[in-house]
Amino acid sequence: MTADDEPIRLLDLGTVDPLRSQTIYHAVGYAMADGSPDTIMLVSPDAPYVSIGRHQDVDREVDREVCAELGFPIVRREVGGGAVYLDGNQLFTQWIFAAEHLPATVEDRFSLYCDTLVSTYRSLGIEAVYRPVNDIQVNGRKIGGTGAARMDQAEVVVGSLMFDFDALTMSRVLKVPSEKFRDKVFQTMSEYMTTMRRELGTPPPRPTVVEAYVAACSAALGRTIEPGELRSDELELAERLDQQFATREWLEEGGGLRRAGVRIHEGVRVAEAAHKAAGGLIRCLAVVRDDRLEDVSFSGDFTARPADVPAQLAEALVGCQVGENALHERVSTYYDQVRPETPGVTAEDWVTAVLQATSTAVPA
Amino acid sequence: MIDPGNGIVHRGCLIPLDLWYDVPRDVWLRPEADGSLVLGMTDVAQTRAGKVLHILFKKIGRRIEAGQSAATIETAKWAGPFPTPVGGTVVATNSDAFDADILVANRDPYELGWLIRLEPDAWDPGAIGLVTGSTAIAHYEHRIEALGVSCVRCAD
Repeated sequence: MTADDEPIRLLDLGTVDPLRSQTIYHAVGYAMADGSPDTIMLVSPDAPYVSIGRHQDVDREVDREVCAELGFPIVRREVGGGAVYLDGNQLFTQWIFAAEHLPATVEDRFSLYCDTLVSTYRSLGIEAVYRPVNDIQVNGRKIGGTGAARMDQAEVVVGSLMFDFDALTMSRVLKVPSEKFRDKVFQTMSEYMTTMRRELGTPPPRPTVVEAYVAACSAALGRTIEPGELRSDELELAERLDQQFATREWLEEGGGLRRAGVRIHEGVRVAEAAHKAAGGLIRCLAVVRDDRLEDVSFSGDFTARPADVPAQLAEALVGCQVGENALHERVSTYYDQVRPETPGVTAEDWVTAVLQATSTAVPA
Repeated sequence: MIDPGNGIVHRGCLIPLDLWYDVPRDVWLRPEADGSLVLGMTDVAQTRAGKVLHILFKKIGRRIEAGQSAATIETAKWAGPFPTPVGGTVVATNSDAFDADILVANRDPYELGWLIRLEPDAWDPGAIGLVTGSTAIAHYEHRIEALGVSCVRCAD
């Protein structure tokens, strides 16, 4: 990291259309050549949209009909991660740096990047903390998301400062296995996400946030940050990428990365799976927090007496560590105490259903 | 501990002596008897990127120019290209191994975790800045120190 004497270019682009809010940082990344400045870009979309991760399959992740009804474009980005609903209540804070001007490992890059967001929130009176690898939280609630990608010579780190967040709309645009799952995603996001509005009542004005953020970046990076302009080659590339990113081919050529469940933040996810037992299908919907079952429910076409066996079992499993032995112990204890009749469904089957819903935990 | 075999280990990073390297891109290349080249991520590359989550290979038969991406890689926290230092035609990918174990390049970057096999347009490694043997070791020791990176087999 030897760029101390070179100022960082600040591009504060205000609001741009949804597509451009994605293509512009790709354009600056791909246009980077020897001698190009490192850039910090601030931008918000002027309308809501949905963005999916680089390798995601749009049809598996996003309800395209709902997006069409609501008039939301769907834009695939070259940054990884999951599908996300975005609107003008987020200020995107994109770093487009020469690779050698940022720490070598992804972890160290996120640490530096997230620290600037944490410092910004703290200067605004929000007790944010960095939770490695790439989460920022306030009292256990996530505030914003981050991601990273390589674009030719540039290493790009993206994230946002969250003025507000519409969890209900986010839960509507995701493709989910059931409405119950959608409700659980909404509830869990409402519980485990926060924003400047939630923390402060009224979010600070944008210029105040920008000033705090630029100061935090300058301090963390030890470099001068100077307002600048987009170059003509960057703008031309952005226009070309606007065309490319708007095509159906681009949207649909993700590559089929499946992410089990919906990750709410570093330690919390909502997941569902079905297990076919001899006595019927057991569908398990689970909220996992730090590898423990925070909430779990069972449904399906199995037979159980008494009728509230699924609810009782679910209750018995709350707080249980997600692991075969721990789950088995709780289910067996329940069976020993209650002696329920579940023809064709054994204690093992409940454990399998929970493990199937939860074992495919993929970090996002 | 990593067995250095025929290479060295510097700050935990294995650098086999018998491979060719594009050091700035962190790509290794191994010429095969049939004239093709096998390419993969170095130990430094897999450490920097982290656990692989998904990989999308360019199709067999596809021509790739030097510097272009032969695969896109998504790790838990990062996405990026796998650039080839040599132009050529894709003749094989290691997709079966990644299908069986997506962390194969994190576990074994130089053997089981190879990425792609190319029929190169030409093979003149010195002319395009590739290095091998003790020269590669010297370059990598310098690079590893400059990056301040210590390798970990991210899958372990």
